[in-house]
Amino acid sequence: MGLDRRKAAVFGGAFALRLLLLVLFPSLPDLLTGRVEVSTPVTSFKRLQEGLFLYTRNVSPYDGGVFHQAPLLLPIFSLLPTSQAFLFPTVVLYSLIDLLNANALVRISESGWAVSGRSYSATRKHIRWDGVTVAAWYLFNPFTIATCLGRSTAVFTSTGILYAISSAVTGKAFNSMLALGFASYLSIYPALLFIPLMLLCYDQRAQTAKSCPSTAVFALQHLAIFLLSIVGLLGVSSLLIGDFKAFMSATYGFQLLVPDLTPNVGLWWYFFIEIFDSFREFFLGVFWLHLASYMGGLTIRLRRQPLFVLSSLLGIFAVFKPYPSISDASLYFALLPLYRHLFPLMRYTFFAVSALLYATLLGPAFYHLWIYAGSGNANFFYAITLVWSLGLSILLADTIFAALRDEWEHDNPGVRGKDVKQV
Amino acid sequence: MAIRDIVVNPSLLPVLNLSAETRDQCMQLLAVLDPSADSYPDSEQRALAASKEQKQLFALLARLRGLNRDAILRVRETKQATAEARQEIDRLHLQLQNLYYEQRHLTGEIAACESYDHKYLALPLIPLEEFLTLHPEHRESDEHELMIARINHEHAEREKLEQARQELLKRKQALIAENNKRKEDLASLDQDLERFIDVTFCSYCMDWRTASPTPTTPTLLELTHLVLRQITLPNSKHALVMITKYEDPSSSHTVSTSPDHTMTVSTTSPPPPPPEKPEAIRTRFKVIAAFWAVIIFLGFPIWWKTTSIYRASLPIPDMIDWADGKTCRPVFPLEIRVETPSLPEAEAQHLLRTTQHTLDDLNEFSAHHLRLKLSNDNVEEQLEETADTALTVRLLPQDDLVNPKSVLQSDTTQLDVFYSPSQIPPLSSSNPPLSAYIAGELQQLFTEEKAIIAQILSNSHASSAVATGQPSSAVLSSVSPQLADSIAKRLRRSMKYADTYHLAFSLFTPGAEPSSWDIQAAVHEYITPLLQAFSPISNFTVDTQVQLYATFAPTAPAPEYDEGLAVWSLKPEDLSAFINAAEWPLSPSIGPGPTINFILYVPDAAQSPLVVKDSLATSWVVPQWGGVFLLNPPNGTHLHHLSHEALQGAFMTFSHQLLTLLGAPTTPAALPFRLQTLTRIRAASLLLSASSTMGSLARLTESLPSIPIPATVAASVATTLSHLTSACEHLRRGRFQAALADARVAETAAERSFFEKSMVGQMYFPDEHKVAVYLPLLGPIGVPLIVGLLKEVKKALAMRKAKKAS
Repeated sequence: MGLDRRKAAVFGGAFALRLLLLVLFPSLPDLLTGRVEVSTPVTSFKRLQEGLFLYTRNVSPYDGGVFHQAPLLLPIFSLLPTSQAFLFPTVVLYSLIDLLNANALVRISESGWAVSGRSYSATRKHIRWDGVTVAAWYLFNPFTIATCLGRSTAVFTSTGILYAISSAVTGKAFNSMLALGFASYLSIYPALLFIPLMLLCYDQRAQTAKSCPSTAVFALQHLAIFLLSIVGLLGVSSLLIGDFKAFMSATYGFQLLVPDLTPNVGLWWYFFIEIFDSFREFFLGVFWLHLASYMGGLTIRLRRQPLFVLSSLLGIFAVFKPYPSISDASLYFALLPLYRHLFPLMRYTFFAVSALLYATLLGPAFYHLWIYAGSGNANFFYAITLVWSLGLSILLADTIFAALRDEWEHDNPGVRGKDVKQV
Repeated sequence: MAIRDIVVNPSLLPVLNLSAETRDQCMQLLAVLDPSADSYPDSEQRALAASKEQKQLFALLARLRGLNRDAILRVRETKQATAEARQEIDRLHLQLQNLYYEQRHLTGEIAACESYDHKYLALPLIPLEEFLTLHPEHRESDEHELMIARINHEHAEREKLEQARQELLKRKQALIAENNKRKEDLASLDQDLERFIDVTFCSYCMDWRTASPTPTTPTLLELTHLVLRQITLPNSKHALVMITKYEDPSSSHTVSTSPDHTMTVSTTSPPPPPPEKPEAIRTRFKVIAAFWAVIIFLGFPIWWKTTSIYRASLPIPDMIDWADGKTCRPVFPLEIRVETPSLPEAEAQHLLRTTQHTLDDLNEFSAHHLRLKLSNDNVEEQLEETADTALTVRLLPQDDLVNPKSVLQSDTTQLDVFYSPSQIPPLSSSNPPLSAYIAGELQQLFTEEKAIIAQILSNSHASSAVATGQPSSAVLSSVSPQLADSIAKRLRRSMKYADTYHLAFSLFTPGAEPSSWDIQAAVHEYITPLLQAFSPISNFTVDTQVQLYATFAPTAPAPEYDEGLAVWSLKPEDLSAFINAAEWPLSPSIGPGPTINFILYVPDAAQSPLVVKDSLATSWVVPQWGGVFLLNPPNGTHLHHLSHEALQGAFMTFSHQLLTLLGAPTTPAALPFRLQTLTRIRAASLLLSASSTMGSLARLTESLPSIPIPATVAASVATTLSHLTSACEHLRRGRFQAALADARVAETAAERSFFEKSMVGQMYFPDEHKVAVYLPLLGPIGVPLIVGLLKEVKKALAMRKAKKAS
């Protein structure tokens, strides 16, 4: 009962904070919506409104070349009153989605999969935070709040991913695949999470059920569910839009081919501005393969900790995906507190955190210098995004190192507590 | 010591003796005189004895004095002798000192000589043994001679080498000369490339510039590399992480020497790390295999697909043949119809034959020749496509004419020749004066056209060494230099050929008036007919504008007032500054074609009439740009509106200027005739320009093997070549209109294929740049992957060996 009261306090506090910010600074949502750090061409709320405007007037929303998001968002948002006149309902909707995400996090944390799995259990599993603390880390993270007020549609993808994970750890493999299908439908990259997520479901099934199903059959079943969910969503979308080809090229084609090089916190835009045109396609392939290639290696190496593979992949996506924003980072930061037991093993926490803070504070300043003051140039902002990516990469590398160390100590109980160094 | 011991000189002994005697005598005298002694009883005796003793003493003293003088003299002598002897000794001593100095100097010289560092000591001579084997005759000679011989040998060797060097230098010079020659050969290619680059690279550059804050391409390139490197920073960090992952921590004892990313336990007394488990090895193998699978099954196909260059095949030999003029030699057979309404058939035929004969005799330029035809004998030819008729000659009999007379109709291509019936040649005459007259007239009519065509042909083939059968320079030499000069001048002045020209008529006035003009009617009346006539050659668009308060540029010299003529005058040399290019809104190009500007300038009432100094002209042509006309209001009246009539003069001038700017020949006076000439000229120049573009494209694609050739270029080339062929065929048959139409299509297609945008991207990408593009990004990712793969392979080999051994 006490726990529930704590949970209610955290959730209520987070909700109240968002509304309070809205009341105190009514212009804040619009400001955040326009920030490149929050809104990317594929998640921008402004572009969504543009699409919505066209959609409600029975024009194809992709005609203007501005809207590149999944069409199913349109009927959902067309139910809401227009956001210019009524800011309140949209913010409430986004806050509720944040609370939903936090709820999923609580469930993931309480399942205990972060510290012990089917064939592995962390050596320091007593050092951990409970679900409410993890949810609080997520809800009161400034990046999450900024994403919520900036009303980036990336939070729907986050919801899909978090619900896929939470369903997987609670044994609802079918729901998990459906949620992942939803996330992949919104933005392509979550499809890369399929294999580790499937492994997580399999581990869960194998742990609870007495008879272990065959791996191949299990994989095929789930792949079918996953694909069918995507096909179903696409079918509904094509019913909604009509012109299937145009909608595919405007959404997925746009995400895959990266034609819009609006600055964001990622690494792609500057590179593809500068690259010679004849090499553009090749390097598109290289960048996508680079992003995808981590999945196999990480899954094999950390086979015993599929949840950790999922979180690390989300961190990698936050750095290397084509249109990253701080909402991707906030999703990674939401999963990190689950690994409280790894924190003592991490070595560069201070450096990583200071790099991230440095980039967070200087990023907007340098962007202002470049775009508005005109006293800087694109290199200023790009340097800061490099620092941001570097900070995230260090954090990522450090947690992976810590997880490996933990696994090693688990395998070799004699070496616990001894100094380890990388040569 | 007694005095005798001191004085030993024998000459002094008598002195001593005498002085002793004297002293004794003195003693005796003293004894005598001593009063205490009483030897002498009385004083007398005493005085006597004393005087006696005194005399003896005086004598002794005198002798002593003599001896003293002698002694002093002798001392003097001795002193002199001593001085002389000493002088001698001094001299000898000095001599001795000199000798000592000499000796020391000589010793120093000897030492210096002995220690002198001669060049030959430092000379890199061949070793002694080697020398002796080369020259055995020196085996017996002593060291000095041997050395001399060796040095001489070295000298000879060096001279030989120097000679060799000179020869090599000469060869180098020859090679440099050859190099220069090759460079010149490449210059033609350079020109093509420059043309290509000028057009295409500009747009390319602009794209880059707008996209990035760094303006120049080299820095851009560096920046790209920098970015690549920067990007790889997180990547490489990451790759390192991955390595960390798949290196099993416990393998450290086996790989402690290899620079690997492994974990070791460093405690004060390191316990042996636990051995690597087989499943860890398997996991590592799987991880590496997973990465390589992505690279091999996805990476390489993508690389192959995205970076391969599509090169459509081009008919290169055909293109080069066209450029060299081997495929088609433009010929201009002009058909001239002769109408002889009043002559019987046979006589007309005869006249025709003789005239043709004379014409052929007169003509030196085989590419351009005139063919006479009777107007009524082409009935059977009507069936097939006939050649365009260049000129119709009508022979009209007229009485009371002494000499034949010819009149060129100004609105048709018709030449009326009047002759008196008596001049009709009899069938027997071989060279009648009438045919000579007609031939001369025709020849004269076509002189200018022939000269222009000859010039165009010679220009195009000046570069290529291929002879065109008839050396066209011969024709040029036959053309009078003044005519050639004026043709060259006019070609310089006229606009470059374009498919579309924009005509911009502008009314400029420094004040507020006139503010309107009857431009539509004027254009309709004076310009449109001309444009219609030109429509087979080019398309035209017309724009007009009125600009009030158009002032001269501040730097332009103001018109001067000429008192004598009561006019304001502009100096001819200042005309180029008349147009205020900075402020007058004369846009350089409206659309894809060039703009021809026509400016009607109405001077201020206070400054009119405005004329050009000396010639008093009110209009002039600006070469390759347009024309200017000064419209002076009559007698200082204000013009509010320029009526149709007021514009007449101006637009007559403009139409004339337009003809000049489009390159129409000045003679003869008939407009249709000039247009026909222009058609032929344009057809020829377009044919040649499209051919040379084909050649340039062929050379370009051959010299840059990495340039992509899109299918559209191949299609354009095919279009060009087919239209060139048909244009050539039309020319040969004398159908110039059709030839021009084909040549226009060919030219457009040729330009399109040459300036194809997508060909540019690769152009600035030599292969060595590719390394710079690939390596910074792919290197850091690739190195750990390759190292991991190599290690796995090594391990697998070692395991197999171990298995075999066991």
